[in-house]
Amino acid sequence: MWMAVAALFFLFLLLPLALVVLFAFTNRTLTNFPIDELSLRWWRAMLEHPQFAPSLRRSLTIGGSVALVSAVVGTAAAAGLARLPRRAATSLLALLSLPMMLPPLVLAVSLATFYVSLDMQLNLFTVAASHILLTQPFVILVVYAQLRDFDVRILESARDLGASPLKAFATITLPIIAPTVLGAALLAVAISFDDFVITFFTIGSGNTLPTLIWGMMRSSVTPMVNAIGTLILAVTIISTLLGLSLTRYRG
Amino acid sequence: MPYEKCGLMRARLFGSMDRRDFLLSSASALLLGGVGGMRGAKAATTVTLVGWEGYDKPLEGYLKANNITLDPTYIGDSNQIISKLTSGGVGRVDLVTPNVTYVPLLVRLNTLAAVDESKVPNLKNVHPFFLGNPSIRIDGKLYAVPYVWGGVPMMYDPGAIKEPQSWSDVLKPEYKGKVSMLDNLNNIQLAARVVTDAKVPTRLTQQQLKDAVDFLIKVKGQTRVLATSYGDMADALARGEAVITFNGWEVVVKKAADKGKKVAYTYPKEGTFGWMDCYCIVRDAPNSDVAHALANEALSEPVQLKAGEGELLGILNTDAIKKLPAEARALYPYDDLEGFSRKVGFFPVAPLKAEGDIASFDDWKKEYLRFKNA
Amino acid sequence: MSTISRSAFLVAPSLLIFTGLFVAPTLYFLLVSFWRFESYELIRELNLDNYREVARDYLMLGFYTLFIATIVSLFAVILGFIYAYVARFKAGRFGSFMLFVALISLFGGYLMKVYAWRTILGTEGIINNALMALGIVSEPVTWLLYNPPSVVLTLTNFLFPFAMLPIAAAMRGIHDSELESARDLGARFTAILFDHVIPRCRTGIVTGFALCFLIACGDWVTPVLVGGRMTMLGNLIAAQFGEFLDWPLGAAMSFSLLAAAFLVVLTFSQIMRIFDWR
Repeated sequence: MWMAVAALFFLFLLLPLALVVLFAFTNRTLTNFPIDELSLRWWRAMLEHPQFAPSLRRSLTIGGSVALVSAVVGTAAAAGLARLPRRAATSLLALLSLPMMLPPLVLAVSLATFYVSLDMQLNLFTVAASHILLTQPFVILVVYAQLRDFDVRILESARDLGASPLKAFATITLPIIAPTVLGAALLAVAISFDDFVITFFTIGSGNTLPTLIWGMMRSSVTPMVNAIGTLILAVTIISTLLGLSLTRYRG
Repeated sequence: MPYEKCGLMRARLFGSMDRRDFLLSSASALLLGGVGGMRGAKAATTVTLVGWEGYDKPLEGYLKANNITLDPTYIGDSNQIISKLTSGGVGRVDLVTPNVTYVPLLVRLNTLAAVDESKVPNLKNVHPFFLGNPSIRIDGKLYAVPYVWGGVPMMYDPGAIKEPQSWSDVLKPEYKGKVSMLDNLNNIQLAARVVTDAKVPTRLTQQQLKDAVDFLIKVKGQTRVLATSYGDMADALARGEAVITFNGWEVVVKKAADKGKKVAYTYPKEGTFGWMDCYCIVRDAPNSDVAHALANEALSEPVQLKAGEGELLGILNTDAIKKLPAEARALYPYDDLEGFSRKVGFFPVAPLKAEGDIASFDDWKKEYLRFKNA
Repeated sequence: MSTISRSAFLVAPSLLIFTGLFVAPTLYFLLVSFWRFESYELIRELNLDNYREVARDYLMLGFYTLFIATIVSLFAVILGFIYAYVARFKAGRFGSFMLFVALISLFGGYLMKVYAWRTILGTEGIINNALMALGIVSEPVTWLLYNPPSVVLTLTNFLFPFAMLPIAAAMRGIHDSELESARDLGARFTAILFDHVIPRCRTGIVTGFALCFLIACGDWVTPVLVGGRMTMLGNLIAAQFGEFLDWPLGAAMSFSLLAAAFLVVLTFSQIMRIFDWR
């Protein structure tokens, strides 16, 4: 009985995504049933589209730099928080998570207004910086959870043997939390790669994959949108899967 | 023993470091690959363009041959060009492709550079009807290089309904839920033609403006969904979700045909407006010469022919017009442009600041916001 | 270096990013909401015109938006609760897989999920195809798409993981033994639910609601893609930064929305206090 409920939920959750992927392989021009036959036509069209490669490059560049920076900054912050009493740490964490609690649209337009008012050029840098606002709480949360339970006695014995705090961190703590940090970084990639609203308002010129399909959805609605969408789904889901298994996230 | 502990740690250290190093280096490779890729692209000249998707397609051959990379931002509305240029675009963007109606406004906002006509020799091949459009020259200087044009006809499904005669036909009860209306501020011009007697539909009094928008709100009630693009509109017609439209484009016929649906159009009796998209050089453009060259190339016969044949756009190079295949030629009234201009007006947009009782562009935007809110 | 100062040094970069990229822009944006925009120029004079305009012209739209967001969040929370309950108490080992699937779905896209509902609800979509194949209707049903219910459905689908995961996290803290002893004492299912389970995950429920609500109230993509003529306040805000350029008005709309959203979430939180855990 409960299996039926679970199955229904799975259907609810996964049907839309399954359809997106399905229609990426249709041979018709309309994203509707019936599908006469499966074909790679729209994948070829996607690869040939002059804006595809630049958009993909931009998405990867932003995702990579966001992951890198949030991993470094987030791990440092998590290490800092781990030394503080519980209460203070959770309050700071909640504070840093505030950007996630806003409607993305409001965050996006306030950032765009800010950048433009400073006469900054809207480009990949502004997009990446804006994404980091959202990804750093994730990284901090995940790494802090692990650091909090970390057995400080190992560190202390290293200190007793004469290692400096930095060396102790680098040789002992870091290898242990490395998978978690990497996992969190992969989650950051997933968040950044999929982001649409913030990117849309802060990118200035050019496209990432999500803004590219938004433009396509509004002008020429063909299954090429599904092909690109499937690609985005694949990247985010694989990134999430890897990231979650690395962090062995337990909630 | 401390020694053993160090050995253990070292073993753990090396084991983890290898995995961490590998994963970190792949991440950096990803990042550097991205950056490197971008740097590679910049070795050629990069021209920044803010404009309509599809316009750059006929230029592809020329871009490749001259090692020019286009960095486009596609818009859904000419107003977005104004937004981009007035919020940091000047000095960064090279080219924009606005509707000619906005050129006077863009010039007034000091966002465009005068075109150096010596760098655009193909201007001489432009059909005089289009070259004579008053909005492209301000104070004697040329600010816009005409590229393509079109009218705003009413589209309809000839298999479902008879040819409509008037814009108000969309209000007929049998069409409820079957009207496709484009979400575009210039619909006010169409409404003005129906419900007001303003001679120039872009110069309206406050009351006329209000009446026009009231009419639009009534039309909105007849729609199921506002089309955000002509692609949407074609889609709706192709699926049979719409049988008649408010606002349209001749090319919708082709877009719908691609999806397997036959669609026709007509210019209703009240008349309509036309548009002409132009290449404009932005003030302080970083690549002004290349921008000029692109605008010139856009007027060349082969590119115009590609635009007319491949994209079914209305073109203006006289030689190219002569060479159009019959199907593409039939889409536009090339042979009777004078008659066309009597039904289809090309008017400059409402003034930047209110002039007496005439509503300003700001007023138009405020009123259209009221339409969106309805 | 003392512990506190070392901590400060480590947390500094994050806080810097937070202050520079969040606090400062938000404060500036608030300031902008008191300025004016005329003929494409930002006029830096303090005034309340924008807020007056919001109150005068956009109140109905604002309420409508909050209404839709509330419905979506309630649906998401209820569905999320059911799912979390099943995962925690009824599914055994399969439960963590259920959570995993939801977690994946959380990160797995936004735009495409919304777009996909067009293919489900459209005139040639799955539901219509099924209805026609089964002979239930002779013509495709048009009222499945391009209306408020489709927006609610789509948003609920997207926000479901956001609601479910905090509730699931809270449920972890409930011990099976506690429920068993209640059952042994003869308590009925509803009593267990309302006296034990819900109070224990109250904070999770409120968090889930808040997350869903805050995302839903600012959403503009869903109404555009599946809402038909439906407008939510988010659409108008987005327009102020696209075709229109009235930043001050957009800012005033945004902060009005935020204030209202805050009130709604607070109200919900207070209402949930009925289930205050003793």
